[in-house]
Amino acid sequence: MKQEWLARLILAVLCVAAIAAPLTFQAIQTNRANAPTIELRARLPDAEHGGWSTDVIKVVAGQPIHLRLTSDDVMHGFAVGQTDWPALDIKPGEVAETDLTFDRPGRYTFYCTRWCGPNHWRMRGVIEVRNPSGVNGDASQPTSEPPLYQKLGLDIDAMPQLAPQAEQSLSQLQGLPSAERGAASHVELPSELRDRDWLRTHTPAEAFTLLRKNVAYNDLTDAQVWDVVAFAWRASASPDVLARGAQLYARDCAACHGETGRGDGPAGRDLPGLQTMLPDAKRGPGDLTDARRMFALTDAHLQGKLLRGGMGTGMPEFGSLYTTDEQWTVIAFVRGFALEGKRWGQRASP
Amino acid sequence: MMRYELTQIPWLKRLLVSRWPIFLVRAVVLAGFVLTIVAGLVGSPVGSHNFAIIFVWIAWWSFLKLLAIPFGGRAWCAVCPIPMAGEWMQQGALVGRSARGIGLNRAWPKQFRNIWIPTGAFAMIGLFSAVILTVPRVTGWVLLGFIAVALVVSLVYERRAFCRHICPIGGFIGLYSRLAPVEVRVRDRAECATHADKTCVTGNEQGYGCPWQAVPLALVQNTNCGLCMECLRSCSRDNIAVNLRPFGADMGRRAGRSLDQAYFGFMMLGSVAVYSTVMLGAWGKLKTAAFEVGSVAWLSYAAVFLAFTLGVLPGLFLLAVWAGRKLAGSTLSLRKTFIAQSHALISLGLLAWLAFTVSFAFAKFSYVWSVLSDPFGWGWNLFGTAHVPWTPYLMNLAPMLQVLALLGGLIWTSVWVRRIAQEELPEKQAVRQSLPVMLFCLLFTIGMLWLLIG
Amino acid sequence: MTHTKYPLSNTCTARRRKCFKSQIAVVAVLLAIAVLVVPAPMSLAAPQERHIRIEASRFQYTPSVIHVNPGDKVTLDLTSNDVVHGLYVDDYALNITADPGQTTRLTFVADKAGTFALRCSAPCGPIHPFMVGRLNVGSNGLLWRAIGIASVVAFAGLWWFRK
Repeated sequence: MKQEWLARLILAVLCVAAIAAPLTFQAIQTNRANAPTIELRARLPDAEHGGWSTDVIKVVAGQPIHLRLTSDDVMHGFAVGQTDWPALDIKPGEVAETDLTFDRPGRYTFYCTRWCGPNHWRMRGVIEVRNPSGVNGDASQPTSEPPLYQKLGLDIDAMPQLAPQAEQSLSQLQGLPSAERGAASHVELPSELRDRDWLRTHTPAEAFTLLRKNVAYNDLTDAQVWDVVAFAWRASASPDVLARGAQLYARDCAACHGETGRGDGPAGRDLPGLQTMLPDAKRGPGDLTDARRMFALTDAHLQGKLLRGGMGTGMPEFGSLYTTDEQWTVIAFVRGFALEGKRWGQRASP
Repeated sequence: MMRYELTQIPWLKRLLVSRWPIFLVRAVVLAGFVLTIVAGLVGSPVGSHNFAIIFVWIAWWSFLKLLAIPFGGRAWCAVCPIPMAGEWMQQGALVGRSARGIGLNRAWPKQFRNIWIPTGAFAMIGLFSAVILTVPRVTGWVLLGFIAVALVVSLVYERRAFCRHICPIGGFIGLYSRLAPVEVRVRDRAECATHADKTCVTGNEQGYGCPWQAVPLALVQNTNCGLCMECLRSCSRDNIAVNLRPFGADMGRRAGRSLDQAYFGFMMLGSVAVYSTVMLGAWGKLKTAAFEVGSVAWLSYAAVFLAFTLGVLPGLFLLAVWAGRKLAGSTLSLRKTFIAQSHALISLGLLAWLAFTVSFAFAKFSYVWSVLSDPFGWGWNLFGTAHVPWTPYLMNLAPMLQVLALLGGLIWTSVWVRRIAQEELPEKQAVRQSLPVMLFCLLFTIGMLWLLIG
Repeated sequence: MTHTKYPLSNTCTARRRKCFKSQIAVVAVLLAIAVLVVPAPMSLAAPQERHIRIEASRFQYTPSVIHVNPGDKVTLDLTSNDVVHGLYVDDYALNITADPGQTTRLTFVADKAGTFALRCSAPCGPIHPFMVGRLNVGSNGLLWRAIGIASVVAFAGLWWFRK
């Protein structure tokens, strides 16, 4: 009889342990960190759910927080916009941990950095960082400068046309311009084309017109002038900047806009695109290799699109994700599609 | 027939007869089962990082198909956790011999004293397999469901009625245990003839009556013997032994051959072919069809699965048997010939499942290491192996092993097709009877070869 | 009519049967050896360079089956249509992953002949463990030989084994 009770005890202990031990161990693990721990579960976002288990995280400035990130299905990533913390990959079924400390109060956006389907861009949340003094200050970003397109009063929904001279020369152009040829021609650039601010506020077509008006460049053919224009844009960004732009483009844009910028990326196939503004336009993301369109837009205009997103076109807003530097970086890279048909900043690849 | 009696080794006999060793094993297995259910229900939804998926469908399944069944027959049933709670309640004790336990102990209804329910249950598993095998929560609920049903059945009906007449796993383990090299048999029949009490059936102070409702003194084949060793304990003449024997020793036994057993065999053959196509094949549309339960695509998959396993495959075999009868000029009952010949397919089925499991197990076994360190996918690292990356093992050997298994099954079945035919027909006619049947087996083997290594 | 077993007896008929049996055995063994040693049809094509674009989606590869010749220099461009996928080549033990909108390139020489599975190596959802494709390098010698031997033993087995 004693044996029977011993057997029952062993059985009970084993079965209870099978349930209690893992749960207890987990409770210990999650409370081990000294900082407040926040668990974020990532899952595939759809039209109703953003994808993060928590959309709003409230922290105190200066206080470190411990993040435990896991994915319930596919590969996701985590990054906080407007900061320079590196992105963290979140592998399915595994836990990624990191400690973050926000120095300045404000409103930060965290977002997914590994493309996880057509709703990947919805996968964003907000981290509200408040002052340690406890005063519930305005949780918005400290007042920053208005973006360039606003200062210039640009209507970024407009579809500017090319000047006739530029238009005509483009139609006679064989292929796309080449920044390499422009560099090889050793033509000296006029002062405007060496001025980053000028380049950002004028279109490539305007640059072409400027060069054509300048008698110093009279012996160049139209094609060669376009090459110089391409060269000017490429030279305005260092190779490091272009490489970073290539990375950002690959991570955040290529899935819709395509690896070659043609707007043929797998995630963009069903988006309304320009059709919202022009019923006759093709569906899908804009074709960044389309010279007629791209040469009529300034960098500031492109920045506006990037910051604000498209109204119903499917283009997400990147204003809360990218710092101003990152915005110019990606735009500098994107210019390469139309100005050379190449991905500037990358080695020759598929 | 060659037999080596294991129970003549004193320490082995003591180990088997004592209730403690088997109890301890069962207790650990049950605790593992509880852990598995907890992991399935609350652990990470990612199957490859969840103890429930990896340990049930890869580790345990491979162990069952590659080791436990081929070498031990119903050995798993002796330690299976599903009927444990029910059986312990029925018996009233874990390690003792109690006078009475809890339960109504009703007789199992006569019309279900077969394995038609297990055949249907296995078909259900097949229809939902894509979801069961990949979603931890579903595995958790399925296992919980099994335990619940087994418990209820044990509290109402007699003994291991669940194991014999409901459990789909038990269905195929029983069918394939005819091939196993282990058996529990009476030593000397004459001894039983002089034993009035038949304590192996009625039980005595040392042991319960056979929980599997077999009649140990008359046991001639393995299908319904759960290797629980109860008869070793209760036999007052110490006349029951555990023997090692050659593989396939029960194939020639006519006892236990029935239509329900034959149909379960076809369910197994059909299932392995469907799983090889859907899970291991390169056709993604089939996989999504099998996964999206309730969709039109899934309904088509379900219809094809059922039609193939329960209709087409047995139908083709019936045609082969009929053609064989015609060739042989046999006047025997078609039904009896069909049933008898179907049992020759047992070796074909077991080895086809073995070949299928090789793909499965070798490709996915490396998940075991990371899941041991982090069973719930919660970021633990108990043994330091949580980040061991997934790598398929020995994929250069796997195709050859699969070929050997499939060819082995084909040869073995050809032997039994003829021998079973020769139970009723002279040799020449038996060979003629067997020809179309072997064509069926050959076509099945070629199909499996193409699916697995093509 | 009673049906009884007809065991092998020691009559002259039995001896003739034994002779017949051994003839069958010899023929079968020769056939099996032939199947095993007949060389696979030599691929007359010189090794070439192949460039194949594979699109991964949940849960298959497009194309799902790739044919190359032994010795070919194969370049696979893997891209994804929806989430992060991977590609692992059995036996060659090569592993790459690709994000949607990005192409990852894998170049290797197909020096091992046979049929190899392409498996997804980045968890991409529930059916991820079953996401497979096929790489055929040359003809599948093992498959044909196995089918050949199966055809021989299926029927030879009927005659061979006696109790």
